[in-house]
Formats: sequence, C-alpha cells, structure tokens
Amino acid sequence: MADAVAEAKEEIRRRLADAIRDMEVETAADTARVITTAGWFEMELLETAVAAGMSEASRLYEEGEYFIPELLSCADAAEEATKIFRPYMMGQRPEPKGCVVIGSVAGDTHDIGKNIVALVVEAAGYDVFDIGRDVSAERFVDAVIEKQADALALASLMTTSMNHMADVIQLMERRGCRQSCRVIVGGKPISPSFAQKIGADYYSASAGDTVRILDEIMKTHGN
Amino acid sequence: MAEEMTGRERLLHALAGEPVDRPSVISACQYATYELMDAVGVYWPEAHSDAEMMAVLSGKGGAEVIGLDAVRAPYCQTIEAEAMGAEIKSGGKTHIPSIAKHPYTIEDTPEFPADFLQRGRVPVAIEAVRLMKQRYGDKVLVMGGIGGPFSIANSLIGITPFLKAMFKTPEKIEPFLEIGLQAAITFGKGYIEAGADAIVIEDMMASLDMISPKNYRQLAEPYEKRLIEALDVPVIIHICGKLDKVMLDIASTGCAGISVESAVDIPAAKEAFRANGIKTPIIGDISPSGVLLNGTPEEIKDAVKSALSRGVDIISPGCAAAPSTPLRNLQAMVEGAKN
Repeated sequence: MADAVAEAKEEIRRRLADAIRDMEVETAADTARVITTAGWFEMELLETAVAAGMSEASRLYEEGEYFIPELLSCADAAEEATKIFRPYMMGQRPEPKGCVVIGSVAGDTHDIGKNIVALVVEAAGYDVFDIGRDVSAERFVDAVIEKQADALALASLMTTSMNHMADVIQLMERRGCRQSCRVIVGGKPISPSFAQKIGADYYSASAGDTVRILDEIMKTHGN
Repeated sequence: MAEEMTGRERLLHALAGEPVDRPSVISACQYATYELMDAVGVYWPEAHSDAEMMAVLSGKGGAEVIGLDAVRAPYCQTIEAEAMGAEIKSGGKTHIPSIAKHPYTIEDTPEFPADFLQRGRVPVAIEAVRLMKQRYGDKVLVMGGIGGPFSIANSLIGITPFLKAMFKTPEKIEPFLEIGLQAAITFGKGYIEAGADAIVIEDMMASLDMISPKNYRQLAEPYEKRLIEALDVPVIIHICGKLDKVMLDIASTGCAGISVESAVDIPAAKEAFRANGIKTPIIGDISPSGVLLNGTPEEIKDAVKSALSRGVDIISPGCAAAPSTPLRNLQAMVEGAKN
C-alpha cells in the first residue's frame, strides 16, 4: 500500500513536471488540484515537480528548442500550479539552499532575462530576492548586506549599461561585503572576459548555468 | 596619406559590392561615448532632445573625431514609443532614456497619431539629420535610425506581455505590429525628406535570443520587408544575437546591409549567401563588450583584421558602443581598416 502511494505520488510529480515543460497551464492546474484533493500537502512534492519542469524547460532553451516566449509560458504553468497549492502550504517551506539577490543594473530597464533566471533559481530551491530593474549600486549593496546574501546576480541586457556592473562590485568592496558574497554576471552583451575584467566571480550564460554556479558556490563557500 | 575616397563614396561602394580603397568603417548603432562628449563639448541628457547638440555629437563626433564613414542619430530606441504616449525616464548624464511606462496593454487597440512627426523627440532627430546632411553630407553618409516594427510594437506594451501574447493570442499583437510599421515608415520618410542618405533599422527585439526563427519569419521579417519597400534609400538592418538560422530571411527583406554581432557565424552566412546568389553585405562584428570597451588599440586592430578575414564587408561595432568605451578604441577601429 505504501508503495502504491509512493508510486502515485511519483506519477503525479512527473505529470506536473511534464505539464510545466509542455507549457500546459490547464493541465498543470488540474494536476495541482489532484494533489491537493488527494491530501498530499507536501511542499517537497510541488517543489521537486516545479524544479524538474523548469529545469527541463531551461535545458530546452539552452539547446535552442525553446525561446523566451516558451520559457515564459512554462513559468506561467508553474505559477498556476503553485497558486493552487500555496494556501495548503503555509509554514512548510523547506530550508533554502542559499540566498541570492538579483536585479538589472542601473540604466537598464530590461528585465525579461533576469526574471527568467530568478524563476529558475527559485524553482531550484534558493531564496531569491529580486530587487527589480534599473537598480543603483547602493540598492544592490544594501540588499546584499540586509539579506546576508550568499550570491549577487547582476544582469544587463544593454551595452550602454553593462559597465555599471563594475560600480556595484567596487561599492561592495568599499562597504566590506565583497568577501562574503559571490558575484555572478550575465546578460546578452556580457562575456566571460568582461566578467573577469570587472572583478566578478562568475559569468553565467543562462538560467540553468546560474543554478549550476550557485550549487558550486554553496558547495565551496556555504556553511 | 590622403585617402582616395571620401567616407561617403567608400560606404556606398561597399554597400553596392564595388571595389573600395580600404574597408569601410561605420557604427550601425549608437556611438556617443563620454569621451566623445568631452571631445565635442556636448553631453547627455541635453543631446537627446536638442537637434543642434545631437548634430554636433553625432555629426562632428562621428565624422571628424572618430573618423567614421557614416554618421547617425539618435542614441536610444524610445523615440517612437514616446511619440505614441510612453512615459520616458531620463537617463541623466550617463545613460540613455528608457521607457518608464508603456502606453498600451495587450487588450487595447492602438492608434497611430496623425501628428507623429511633430511629437516628442521625433522632430529633434529629423532636424539633427538635416543639420548633419548640410555639414557633413559631402564627406560621409548620413543615416537616420529607427526601430523595427517588431521592436516598436514591443515597446508599446512591454516585452513580457508581448511575448506571452505571441504565444497565446497572436491576433492581439497584429494591430501593434501594424502601428509599429506605420511609425517606422513615417519616421523613415521624415528622415529621407530631411536629406538622410540611408536608414538604419534596429530591430533588437526580433533577435533569436528572444524569439524563434519561426516567430521571426512570421512576425518580424514581413514587416521589415514592407518597411524597406516603403523607403527609397538603402536600408541597413541591425539585429542582435545569434542569427545563423535567419540570415537568409533577413537578406530576403531587401535590406542594403545586415549588421550583426560576433555571435553570428559569418563565414557560414557568406557561404549560404553565395550559394543563393545573395550579395547583401555583412556589417559588424567588433564586440562592444569583449573588445571595444576593455581592449587595447592593438587588440581592436586585430579584431578588425579578424572580422575582415571572416568575410565581414563593412566594419562596425556589433551593437551599440558602451558609453564608457575609450575614444582611442573607436579610433583604433578606423585605423585598423587603414592598413
């Protein structure tokens, strides 16, 4: 009997992950309803399903199968399922893997890539503090200190704003939080050599990449 | 040593695939930098909304200080949206203006304002082109910059709702694309009326970093094509990102040149062009972040040689120059084409 339940849970987990990957908002919602109706109010069940679905989606993006509209639709499906699940889940949130502050740098009002990274990183089990777009160096550093962030993820989609990433890193040095927080940079015009030159710790090419980098950071620098 | 051709002649020859005295160098996207502003004594944010200042920064800065074969205005991609009701946030001294509030939601029916050419900074950019044509038109090509219909449509409602709607309710984005096309045609004709020799379309949102090749073919390319057909001067298209899968489609718009960044496999594109009898020149692909911003003048000259050896026809930064790019690096890009 216990095995049958475990099997059923596994089946539903897969169904939800597939619905998210396949951008099927209705199916994702129906599946979440099945889960709550069955009384399986386990955050772990939802989170692993969402993480699996979104990580599949970002893999398809990296392989050139999916594009941004597809990723946004996957995220919508994940959000729909989470919305149905959330009321049952109060106070059940498992220990996050780490804490990340994320935002687009000053002068850059684009946030689509940054939003997708935030979604995928959150789905992978991190506490994500998204402080928005066109964020000043001061606000980034304030957030890093306040949240005692393990990592700061800086995004820029424009060549005209990318150099403000360097301002943030310099201000972190001056305010003494550079040592305790790894800096990841990414965005269309950003390259590994640019990341190195401005003193960032990591260059990330995609949302999936960011999760891999964070996992590595937590392994080497985490408590 | 005096050069045989003026920049204008050189670029026109290069666009036509005819022999040149040396490779042509332009900046398809914006090239105003902090040091260029110091050099000509004109600064942001004022230069965004003053035709005389724009003409000095872009014209004198581009033609005389950097030594480009073409000059262009403006610096940002918010003018069309502003003219159609977007709220704009100033970028101050250091940034370009950005959209603070989009004028429409996907549920709205957009309307094209009959007085588009009189709205916001549209007359400023057109007047700047007129002034540049008067002052530099015999030496360099004068280009007016507009957004592509797809990108303008995006700027009217915001990229995230736009991309989601592309997927779920494509019929709702069509009126926005039509308005985007109308704005681009009207703006382009305004520039041409003022004396522009060429038009540059920046269709940055139609990048394959954002949308699939299928989406590009359905929602971006047909509108680019209609835009180019409506403008009777050479039209250069700039799109960011890895465009390998749509290079032939971009060429099929009838554009006079395709401006790309280093993510594009240029030898492969040239090969495909040859196989299909396409002569459209490729413009690019000096990396604004990888080379121009932080490289040495020597590294930049090497990047120019590498670009030429990979089949780039006209040298240009692969995207907008970062405003903190050293001036000597932009000048090195021109020097690199001289020997």
